[in-house]
Formats: sequence, structure tokens, C-alpha cells
Amino acid sequence: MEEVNIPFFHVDIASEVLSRLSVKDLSSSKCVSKGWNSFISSPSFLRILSKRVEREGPSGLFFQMFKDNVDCVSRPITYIPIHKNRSFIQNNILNFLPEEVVIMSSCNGLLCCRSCIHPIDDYYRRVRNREAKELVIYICNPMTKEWIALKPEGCVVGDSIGLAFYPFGYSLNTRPIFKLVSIQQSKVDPHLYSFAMYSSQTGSWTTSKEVCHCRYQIYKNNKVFVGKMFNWLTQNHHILSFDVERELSKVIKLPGEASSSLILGCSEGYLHYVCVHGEDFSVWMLKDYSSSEWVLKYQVTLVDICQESYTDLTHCNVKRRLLLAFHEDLLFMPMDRCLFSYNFRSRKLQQLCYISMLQDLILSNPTVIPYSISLTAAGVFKEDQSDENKSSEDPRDVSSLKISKRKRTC
Amino acid sequence: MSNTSENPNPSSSSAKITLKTSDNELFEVEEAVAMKFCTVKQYFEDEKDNDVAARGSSTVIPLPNVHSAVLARLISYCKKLPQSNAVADNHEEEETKKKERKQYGTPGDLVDLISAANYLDFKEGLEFFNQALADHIQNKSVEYVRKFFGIKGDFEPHEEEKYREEYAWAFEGVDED
Repeated sequence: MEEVNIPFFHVDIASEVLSRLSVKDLSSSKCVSKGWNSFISSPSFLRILSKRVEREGPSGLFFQMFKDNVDCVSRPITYIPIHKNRSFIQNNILNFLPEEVVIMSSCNGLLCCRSCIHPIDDYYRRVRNREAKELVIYICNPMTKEWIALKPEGCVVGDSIGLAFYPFGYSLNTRPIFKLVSIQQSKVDPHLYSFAMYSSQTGSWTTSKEVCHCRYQIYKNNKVFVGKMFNWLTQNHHILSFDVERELSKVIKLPGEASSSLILGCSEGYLHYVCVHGEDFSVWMLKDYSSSEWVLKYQVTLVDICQESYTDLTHCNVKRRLLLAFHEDLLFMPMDRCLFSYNFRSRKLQQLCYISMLQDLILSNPTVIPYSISLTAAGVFKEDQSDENKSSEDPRDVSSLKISKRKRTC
Repeated sequence: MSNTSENPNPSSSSAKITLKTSDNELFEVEEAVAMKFCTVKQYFEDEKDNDVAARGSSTVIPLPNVHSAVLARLISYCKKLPQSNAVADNHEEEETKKKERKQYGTPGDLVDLISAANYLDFKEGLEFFNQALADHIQNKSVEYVRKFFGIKGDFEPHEEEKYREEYAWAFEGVDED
């Protein structure tokens, strides 16, 4: 094996030290030498890094106003980075994409968006004299500004799309791959849902044979991907889960009493469900999909949450507490004109930023997507392309992959 | 702290353990300090089991992988260890910790300290010195990192240029020095 030019005696020590650096530092450090490059790019190091990044919680939150079956063309996407000391609101972070998009989901550093397919109203369509727009799905890396566009072919793809990105491959294949799953309600029977899937490995879309019978309407913008399961929140205190590996779906009842303040999230590889009743916060974990067994992981009151922080927020009595996102035991919620995160593990409440400007957005039940910057997500499309060019005999695959080199706007 | 249960009475902390470094120097350290090094602790307990340690303080524990200069620094760090190991959660605390970490000098020193802490299985020290070394290269230019570690860039100029162009965002806004 080639000697790795790392100035540490032990590979473990090099991993320990370098995994503390930011993704940006690591990206530039690849340039230090060939040894550093191969070390930082090695799957064993990237795995250690992923674990550390995962435990630290999300790097930021994407926000967008949501209204079912209507895509406002001018619906801005807001990004709030989460720093230890300061957070500020960023707009236009997805400006590198060729059109206005609706944010869908995120996984391991990649973000999935789609084009606006529901025109605002009939008036808009008449005036512009155009048909409902064609669906284009964008998978992008907001950090490196790399992206690809996918146009579904040969099957019906719905307007709620989940992304699963496996940076270290899938089963026997160790190349990074991603999968998409969309859910669509049957036009004939509104209680039936079907699924369309895409895999970057095959480069093609397929309609799953699985059909889910679910009496409850799904919330298209309240979904979370955990392991191999896509989960959509539904009305009447249930979730609809789809196993992307086995192509099986299931409707699972949520634990406890129904609440109007609730959120789904992922933590330590398990599906979590957070709900609030009055001043009581409960965090449930789905221990086992097959038996639908939930366990109560944390239960705290608002007084407990505020206890260790400088601000007393118990006076902010609200009829319905808004929960924005839950990720790796961190709960994000607005209180008293600020965005707060509460860490159930360390019991720390942290004020992130003022959101007075975003108050309307926050109150509108927006789509909120936790995003984690990841080194494994850099350059994945590039590899895809060279791979496709080499191995693919179907020219359609290549034409459907549009690769954009990142352009810098200073 | 892990050793308090073994050593509840402060007056008994005067028990000493002798450590012998690679350059044959002898260090007489308090038991409480020595027990921070899991390797030493393990050795000590094994000896106890074998009844060899009946002679108490006269036991000499050899550390063939640790130089006396490094051990002296580790021991002095150990003595300064704060009682609570809480993670800094506000800006000021974090800054103080950063300053503290900066005192541990050159990369060569830090690598020696990390290797020794690794060998001794000294968890708090490892955490501290790993972070200290990471602090040194955080948000620094490639040139700085090369100089810091004494590494020669072995990429062809055109290869490096291409990479820098492609990942321009990663090279912006680094600290000067």
C-alpha cells in the first residue's frame, strides 16, 4: 500500500484530529498533499466524520411557505444556519438552480427540490397561456452548488418526494447512490396511495407494485426518511411508512393522545415523534417497525426546558405550540419572537436568532427541512457522470443528467 | 471522576506511584494522578492481583513508549484538570478553552503528547490535545498547514490549480498567518 503522508503515528489519531475540522477546512486540506487527499477521501475516515457530524445535529434549517396543491412561484426559500454563537437568516441560497423550486427533503448533505408544477391559479394559467408545468426534480448540494436535474420518464411521479442518499453505497455496491420516492394519491379512490421510485444506480424511474390503503389524508410536507423507511405524517394521529428496500408500506398509529403540536424527526437512526400537550413535551421513539412499538424517550415540561436557560419563557402562553423540526434530539421551535433549539440529551435550551421578520412564514405551517453539511456529498454527481459515460449503454441516462459546474457569485 | 471511589479520603492521596519513562527517568506521582492513565491503572491493578504490589509505593511501572519530557507535561496537565468536564456552552467559555489549548506549542509537541496520551489511554488528555491540534489548522490556508506540519505539496501545479478552481469556496476567507 502507498505510504500515507500524514504526520501522525497512528491512523486513529489522524482521524480523531481531522474529524474535528469543518467540511470547508477538510475540502481545502485535500490540497495539502496526495497523502492527505487520499486520507481525507478514504471511506474509513468519511465514516468517522459522518458519525461526528451526525451527532452534532443539523448545520441549518431550510424554510419555505407551504400550501397544498398550490406552488407560488415567488415563494422564497430561507436558510438559517445553526452556529454555536450566532445565527443569521440567509435568503437566495438556492439561487444557483435554474428556476424557482419547492424544497422537498434532505439527506446526508444533499437537498431534493422540485419545479413548481401547480400554477397559482387558473387566472395565472390563462394569462400566461401555458399548461401545468412539467415536473423537474433537482438534487443539489447547497454548499458546493453542484446539482443535477431529473425528469421523470415512464411513470407518474407525485408532488411529494423523499430523498435517500447513501454516501457509502448500498448493499454490495460501495459507490455513493441516491434514491427518490414519491407518493401519489389515487384519483379514483382517495384512500389509495401509490409510490414511484428512482435509483441513481439504474438511472430509471419505476412505479412500485405496492399500493397503500390509508383512510387518512397525508401531510405532504411533514415527512422524514429514517434508515430505509420514508414516513409521512397523516391526519388522525397516524403515519404512513414506505420501505424503499422491500417496497412495502404500512400505516402506523402514533402513540399517546392526539395533539395538534407535533413533529416527526430522526435521531440515532430511529423515527421520533414529538408532541406537546399544554406544557408537557413528549418524545417518542419507534423502536420497531414490524411490531409498531413506540417507547417514550423523554418527557419534560416547559418549566424544565427553561430552567437552565437565562430567559424565562414560561410566560409565553400560547394556545398551540409550534414545533418546527426535530433532529438528533434537538427540537426547534419559535418562542417569544426567537428561534430556539432544545437539546433533550444535554437539557440545554439555546436561542438561535430573532425571527420577527419571519413571523408570518413561521406561523403559516411552513416546510422545514433540517440540513447537515457533509463532505460525502461533494462531487457525487461528477462521479455519477463519468460512471454513466463509461458503463451506460442507454443514452437516455446521460441526457437526463445535467451537470452544472458551480459558478461563484461573490 | 473515575478515581474518587477508590480514593475517597484526600489524605490517602499522598500514596505515590513510580513511573519509569523510556529514557529511564523515574517519576513519583500521586496515585490520583497516575490513575487517570488507564494503562497505568490496569498495570497497577494487575500487579495488585498478583500480590506483587504489597510493597506499595515501591512498585515501579515502566512506560517504554513515553519520554520523560512528554510525561512531565502530561502530569502537569493532569494536575490542572478542571473538576467538571462540562462542554463549553457559551462563547466566552469556548474562547477561554481555546486560549488554554493554544499554550501547548508546536505541532511536534502536540503529536508527541497525543501519542503518549493514546498509549497511556488518558481520555481527557486525548480529547484536549486532539482539539488543540485541530484548533491549529482550523480555517487556515493550505500553505499554512504544509508549513505547520512540514509537508511538501506533491501535486502537479496544474492538478492543484484545477482542484482549487473547482472547490474555490473552500479556499475563501481563511485566517491570515
